[in-house]
Amino acid sequence: MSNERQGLNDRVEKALAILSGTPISFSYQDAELRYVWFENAPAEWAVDEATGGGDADLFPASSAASLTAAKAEVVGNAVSRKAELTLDHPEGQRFYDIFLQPDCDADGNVIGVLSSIVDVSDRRRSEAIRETLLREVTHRSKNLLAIVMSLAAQTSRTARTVDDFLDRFNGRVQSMSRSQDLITEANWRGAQLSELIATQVESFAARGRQQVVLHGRDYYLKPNAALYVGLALHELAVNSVQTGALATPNGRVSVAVTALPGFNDRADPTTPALSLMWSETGEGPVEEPDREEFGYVLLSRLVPLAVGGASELSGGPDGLRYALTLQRREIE
Amino acid sequence: MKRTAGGPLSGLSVLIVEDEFLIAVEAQRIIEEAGAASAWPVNSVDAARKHLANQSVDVVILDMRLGDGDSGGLMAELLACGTPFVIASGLAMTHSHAAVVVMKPYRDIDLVDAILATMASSRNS
Repeated sequence: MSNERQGLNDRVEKALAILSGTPISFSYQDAELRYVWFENAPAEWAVDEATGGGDADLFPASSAASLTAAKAEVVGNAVSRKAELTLDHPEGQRFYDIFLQPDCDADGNVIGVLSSIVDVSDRRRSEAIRETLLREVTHRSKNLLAIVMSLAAQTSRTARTVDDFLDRFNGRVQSMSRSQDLITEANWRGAQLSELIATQVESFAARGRQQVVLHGRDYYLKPNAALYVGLALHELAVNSVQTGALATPNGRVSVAVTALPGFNDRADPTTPALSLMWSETGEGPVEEPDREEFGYVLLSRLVPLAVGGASELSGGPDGLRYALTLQRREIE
Repeated sequence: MKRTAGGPLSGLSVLIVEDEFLIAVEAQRIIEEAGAASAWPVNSVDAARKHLANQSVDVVILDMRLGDGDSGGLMAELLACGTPFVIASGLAMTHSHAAVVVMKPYRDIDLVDAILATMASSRNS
């Protein structure tokens, strides 16, 4: 054997060794589309039985038919083609991209078909995951836009002027955005009650952390509760800064948290489980809140409905009081 | 709440299955203002089943992707018992041969029109 020939053999051996570490395989068929040889074919393909036979001896009928049709075109027209193949597999479907090339003799007659078969299953799977995530993001953002439209409609119904509307609407959107930040940071788990209070109150009252004090255990709220309790805290803080305890440096707000008997009742996630009580002191007697105002509707009707609980909003000799209960399933 | 007697949805009982609360109350407002006899929001497939078992419902507004999943299961049940429904979805590629789809976010008129189209086609079939 000549040195040149020996060198070529070495290179072919190395190339085949490299091939065995890739998801790429080759097959060769004659002009009648009978398999002549395979190189690095997937382990589960019955290549020994198929050698001398055609695609129908290797693949299910429907896949075999379309593949054979593509190869017949390669033979008939002496052109390259690309084909795709999907096969069932115990560990999930396998996907292949197949590049078909004609093998021609010195006179240009097609004497065979070379298939380069690339297993693209991993890529297809990550594409499928990406598509699912993309749909999820779309769904959430569309929902969010619908929520914003709803907030705008509800706020507009009680706004007196355009400036009044913008002021209240922007405040509510920012409140939801701040709660959403906490939820996103926690990987959609929810938000700690103390952080929710701090976040919602501090943007209006600089000394919010000193003036608003949490009494009781610091429970962890799930995303839905975090969003709507956050909105309630926002409304209470805005109101308090304008006319309540947070309008004066000496005013105090207590947020008292109490677990209700239903808290340990795991059987029914809809039982009232937690009570929150916002009570203001220091600004003297307050009038009964305006029932037409959307803030009132939000606190007394919407938020309790959203967290499956009940609420009571009242004025009094010491200051505003707001009691809210939450269902078990809203709390971790 | 303002209720328009003789509005386009006059006399209808509507069940709203939507787990995003502010969207549900807005849908309720739209439907009540269009003259419906009742518009009842629920936030889960289970609550929807309970409501359907106890109340007569003319048409259901069904959110495509509820947090507790299985809106597909409820859809199949509605088809089986012949209760008309509108699908509310935020996904632009949502198509259905079984129902009218209203895209989120929707305007008042979009939702009312979707309900009217659904009622019209259920009368014809």
